[in-house]
Amino acid sequence: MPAQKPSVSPPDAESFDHASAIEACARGDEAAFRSLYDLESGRMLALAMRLLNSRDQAEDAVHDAFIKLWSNAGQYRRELGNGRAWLFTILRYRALDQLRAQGRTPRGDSDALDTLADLLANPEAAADDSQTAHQLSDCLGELEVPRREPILLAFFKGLTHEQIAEKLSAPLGTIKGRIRAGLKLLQECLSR
Amino acid sequence: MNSPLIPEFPEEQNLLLGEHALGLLDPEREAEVRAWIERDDNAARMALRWQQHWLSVSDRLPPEPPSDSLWKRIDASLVRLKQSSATRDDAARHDAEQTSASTKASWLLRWLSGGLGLGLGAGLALALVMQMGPFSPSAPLEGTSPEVATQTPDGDAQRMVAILQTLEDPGTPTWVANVTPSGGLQLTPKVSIERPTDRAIELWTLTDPQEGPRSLGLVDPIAGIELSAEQIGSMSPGQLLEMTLEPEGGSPTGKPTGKILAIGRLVDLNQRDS
Repeated sequence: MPAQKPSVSPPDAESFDHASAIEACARGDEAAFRSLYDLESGRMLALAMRLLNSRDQAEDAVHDAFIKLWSNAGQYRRELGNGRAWLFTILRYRALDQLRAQGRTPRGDSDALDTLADLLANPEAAADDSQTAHQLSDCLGELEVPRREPILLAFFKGLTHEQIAEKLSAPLGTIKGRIRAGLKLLQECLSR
Repeated sequence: MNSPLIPEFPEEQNLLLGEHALGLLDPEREAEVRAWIERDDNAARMALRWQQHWLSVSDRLPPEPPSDSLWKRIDASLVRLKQSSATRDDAARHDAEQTSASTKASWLLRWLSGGLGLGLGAGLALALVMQMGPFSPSAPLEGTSPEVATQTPDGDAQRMVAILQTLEDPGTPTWVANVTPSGGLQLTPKVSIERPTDRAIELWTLTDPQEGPRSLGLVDPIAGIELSAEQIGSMSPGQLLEMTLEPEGGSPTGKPTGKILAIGRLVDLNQRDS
C-alpha cells in the first residue's frame, strides 16, 4: 500500500465523513482506510490504553479493530448511526473482550477519576465538541459524584459492577443502583 | 421475538444498551444484547447513539500517537486479508471438495504442522480427522446438549455446528459451536477447561490454509461466548475452529502460539440430514 500523508489534526474528526470513508473501505478503497487510520488511531489508542492499561495490548486492540473495519465495512449501514461510533464500537468490543478474558483485573487506575474529572471540566476541550458532545458532557456534569464516578470507571476502565463496588468501598447493590439511576438521569437529560 | 433478557419497553431497552455501552453486562447478557443489536435495527440505532454520546467524552483524552510499527502490522494484515479474499472463492470450492479422508488430513496437517508449528505427526492428525468425522445430529455425542444439534433456523436455512474436542481425548466433546440463525457463532463449554490465571484462551478459525488461522478473539472458559456475524465473518461447512492457550491478552504474533485446547470442524446438518 503506498504511503499516505499522515496525521490529520484531531478536530477534523468532527467534520470528516466517516460513513462515506467506511463505505469506500467496503469498495476496497485503501486511501479511505488510511485516512480513517490517520484520523482516528490516536483517539482509539488513547481510549484502548485507558481500558487495557497496556500500550501493547491497546495497539493490539486498535490493530484488530481496523482489520475488522476493513473486513466488515460492507455491513455498516449509515441509516443506523454514526460511522465514527460504529468504528469505536468495534474497538470497545475488542478491548472489553480482552479485559473479560483477563478477568478484568483493575490495574493502575488510582488517578483515573481525578484525570477524568479534569477532562470533563476542561472548557477548552468542550469548545471543540459537537452538539451531542456538549449534551453528554453537560449531563454528566449534572450527575452527583456518587453516580458519576462508577459510570466513568465503567466506561474508561472497563470495571465490572463488582470491581467498582470494591474500588469505591460500597455494597454491590448500591453501585448497581447508582449506575442505573445515573444512566436514567443521563437518558432523561439527553432527551431534553 | 426478543429473548427474556431483553426488556419490553423502549426506555428500559435504552437503559440496558446504556449498560452495554459501559461494558457492564455479564457475559450471558452481553451475548444476548450483541445478538439483539445485530438483528434489530432499532436496538442498533440506540446502541450507536450511546456510543456516539460517549465519544464526545472519550475525545477529551489526549490522542496517543501510535508506534511506527502499528500501521506496518495493520498494513501487513491487510495484505494477507486481501490475498485471502482473492482466493476465498477457490478455497470455498476447495472446501466443498474435501470429501476424502486423505484430503482432509492434508488440509488439517497443513494447519496443525504448518500454521501452528507444532510438528504433529501425520498419524495423529489423520486420527484426529477421523475422530472429527461424520456424526448423527439425532444421536448427539455424550455430554452434548441435544438441543444444540437440533436448534434450527427457518426452513432450509443452513444449520451448522462444530463439536470441539481435545487432542488428548478426541472422543470427548469440550465445546459446542453453533451457528445462529443470524450468522453469529455461539460457543458453549461442555467441560471445564483448566486455565492459569495469567493466560487466555483464544479462538481461531481457518478458512484459507494459505492465510493460516485467523483470531476470533478471546473466550471466557466458563460462560462461553457468542460472536456476531460481524465479528466472525462468513462461515462454511468444513471450516475449522480451534482454541489455544495464549499469553494474557491473546497471542502476541497474531497466530496461535500455545497448546491446542480444543479443535473441531463445522458441519452442515442439512447435508447430514439428507
